[in-house]
Amino acid sequence: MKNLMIKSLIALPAAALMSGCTGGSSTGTATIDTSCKASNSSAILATTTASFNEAAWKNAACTQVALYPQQTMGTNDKAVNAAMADAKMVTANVKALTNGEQIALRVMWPDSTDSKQGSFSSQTYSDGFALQFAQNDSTDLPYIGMGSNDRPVVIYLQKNDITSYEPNGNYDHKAQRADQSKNMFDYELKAYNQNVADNGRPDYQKAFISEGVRSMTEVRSANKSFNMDMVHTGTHWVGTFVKDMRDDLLDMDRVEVPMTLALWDGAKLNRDGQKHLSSWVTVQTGNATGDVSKAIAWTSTGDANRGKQLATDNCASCHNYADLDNGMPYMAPNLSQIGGQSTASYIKESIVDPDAALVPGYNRNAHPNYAWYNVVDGKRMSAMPSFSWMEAKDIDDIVAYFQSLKK
Amino acid sequence: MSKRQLAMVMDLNKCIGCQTCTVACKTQWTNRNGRDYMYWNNVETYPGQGYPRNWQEAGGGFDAAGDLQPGEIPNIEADYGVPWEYNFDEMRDGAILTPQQDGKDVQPTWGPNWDEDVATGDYPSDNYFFYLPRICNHCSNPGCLSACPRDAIFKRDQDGVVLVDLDRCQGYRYCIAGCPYKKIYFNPKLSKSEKCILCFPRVEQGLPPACAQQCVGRIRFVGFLDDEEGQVHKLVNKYKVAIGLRPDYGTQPNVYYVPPVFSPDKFDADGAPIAGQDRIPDSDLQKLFGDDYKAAKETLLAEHKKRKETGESELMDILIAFQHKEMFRLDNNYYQSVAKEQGRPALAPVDDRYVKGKHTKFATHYQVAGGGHH
Repeated sequence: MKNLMIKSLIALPAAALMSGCTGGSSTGTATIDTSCKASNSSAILATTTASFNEAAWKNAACTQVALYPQQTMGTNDKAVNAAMADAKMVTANVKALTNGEQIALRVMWPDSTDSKQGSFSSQTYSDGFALQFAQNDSTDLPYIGMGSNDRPVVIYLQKNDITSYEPNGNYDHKAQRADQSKNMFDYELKAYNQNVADNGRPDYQKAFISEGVRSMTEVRSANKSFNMDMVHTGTHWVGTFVKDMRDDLLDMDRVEVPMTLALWDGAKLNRDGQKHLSSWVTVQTGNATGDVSKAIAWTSTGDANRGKQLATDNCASCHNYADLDNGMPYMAPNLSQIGGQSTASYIKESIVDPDAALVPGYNRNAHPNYAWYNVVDGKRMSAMPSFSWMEAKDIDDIVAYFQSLKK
Repeated sequence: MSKRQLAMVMDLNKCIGCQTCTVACKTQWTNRNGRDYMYWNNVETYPGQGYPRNWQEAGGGFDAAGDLQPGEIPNIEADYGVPWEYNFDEMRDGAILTPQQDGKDVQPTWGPNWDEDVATGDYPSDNYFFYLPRICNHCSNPGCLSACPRDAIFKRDQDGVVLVDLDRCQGYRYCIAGCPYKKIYFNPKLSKSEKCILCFPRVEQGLPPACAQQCVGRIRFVGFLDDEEGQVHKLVNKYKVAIGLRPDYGTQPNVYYVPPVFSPDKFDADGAPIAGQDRIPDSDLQKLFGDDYKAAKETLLAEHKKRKETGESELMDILIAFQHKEMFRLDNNYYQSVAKEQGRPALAPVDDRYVKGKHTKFATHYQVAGGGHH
């Protein structure tokens, strides 16, 4: 056993560990949360190894990340709509470590219920968390909701779930057995249960690559190079992620790696886009503030009050946000939380080039009268026209206003 | 909208509620691997709460403007019903009869056909019920497909069968809220949605869906809507006596029902039939079948009268269901040509009785011909 050195990703201060946090801190300077200590006490995780042991985590710098409810599109499920109607921002505490070979992240977030989907219910959902990383170094960041065209993201997802076995996913139709037919198939049933025990996935953790909604694809070959875990402490979840610094899917050995964090609360029927999502933060291996961080940290200095009026005149006929709901259902993303989740650069880009990222939402068939995208040459184009004709100052003012929208 | 549409017609005047279709489907598809609680085919008593419980009030479908409506996801225990067993083995050792599920005691509060054969009205004067067999409607505008944010549900171009791509499905269940018929189900063991597949692997090999082939009342017709010689086309498009269920949901269903218009008369105080007073009220059937119901009823009664008086009526002859080989027209040559186009091996039909269709003119034993192939 090689005794590896633990070092935090950067020479402290911790503030630099995660930079560009919007929400947790509007200035881009993260704060240390003293309650991070709770994560060190009880949660012993399978991913805790000789390198990433409790002592190492205890000394790691802690950064707060703000996550906002992602409700850009409504859903057609009455129950989740009701459960998420009053959802507010939550704060997660994030720590990161590396031993040179591997990188580890630990995320702690408040959730008093330990929710599992279970194997015999149609109405229960699992708690879970995901880390999403931009695959490339580019100041044009991917869309936070599963990336966008030519801006791939790599997503690691851990769900709190039961052992499951997918004969269909494994093309293993012959393994299917009828539980009821004990008299006829007792031997086969036992063999099947053994098969589930042998081949079932005891832990729901998956790696995906995605360039926008619908393109998200599981990368099974990545399974050997990462591990995730989540442990409930009674009041919080502690999630851990350990990954090789470099593999074919994602190189973490970069000056700054853009990351977002997503949390699902099964008790609130969360799944899919019904979740809490952070804006971009960066995982840094040094103090250097690169162009990506600058792009994330850029904020509009426009006049938000003037922007509010401009938004009412130009945006509110399609978009719903704050207390405005003039737009038809499903016609355009709801912007009530856009300031919590989106960078100012993204908001500006979406105003002048709406095709750059199509926000995931409903299937187009759900609202044929108000299509939110059109298909041109097989490519999805936003139904929103470009507002690049506006004066630069007007755009900056609108961006400043939208940055202020979050709750 | 698909290039062609395979459709089913069910004649409700002849359904006896024997559940043979239900069992045929269950043993073929849903007795294993998390599908145990599902009934892709069920036969419910109407009026009644149905399966899943109160599905007609659970939302989904589209409004008049064409927008998807919010819906609910039924509960397995309370709305579908758990598939319980009894502890017969333990009873040999003196245990009391107890319902169990996965070896644990359960107290079921609901199940498919919990209210089977429970009539409405007063016995014996005007009580009534009828059976409503239901499968996925393989809609032309499916609510499930429209609700899926992952595009995991698709409608096959060759025959309009609506299927779930299990590799894409992530188990979000919006499809269940979106389907107004609640005919797509969540498999909690696989965390994916699953549904009636219209037995497409059988159909492609010249066999009708299991529910239709096993139907002892011979109430089910299967064929392509554009096959003008087919009985399905004649019932739906020529005579317009077969109507989709709850057309007000806006999904354009492709399972069509001949409404039960030949119900017995009500009785008067002396127990004598009152001529012309049907036990099944028109208002019930109008709710289920919409505005087209009235004309369908008139046609059915007129043709019925004509057959009685003249001995001739093509419509009544079709509804008598003389020959399976005429009731099921699966156009095997068409499926073979589709397979060829898609570069898949075309499977030889396992039965030559049901292979005729628009592109399959005649059939000899294990050989299919027509449309330029073979």
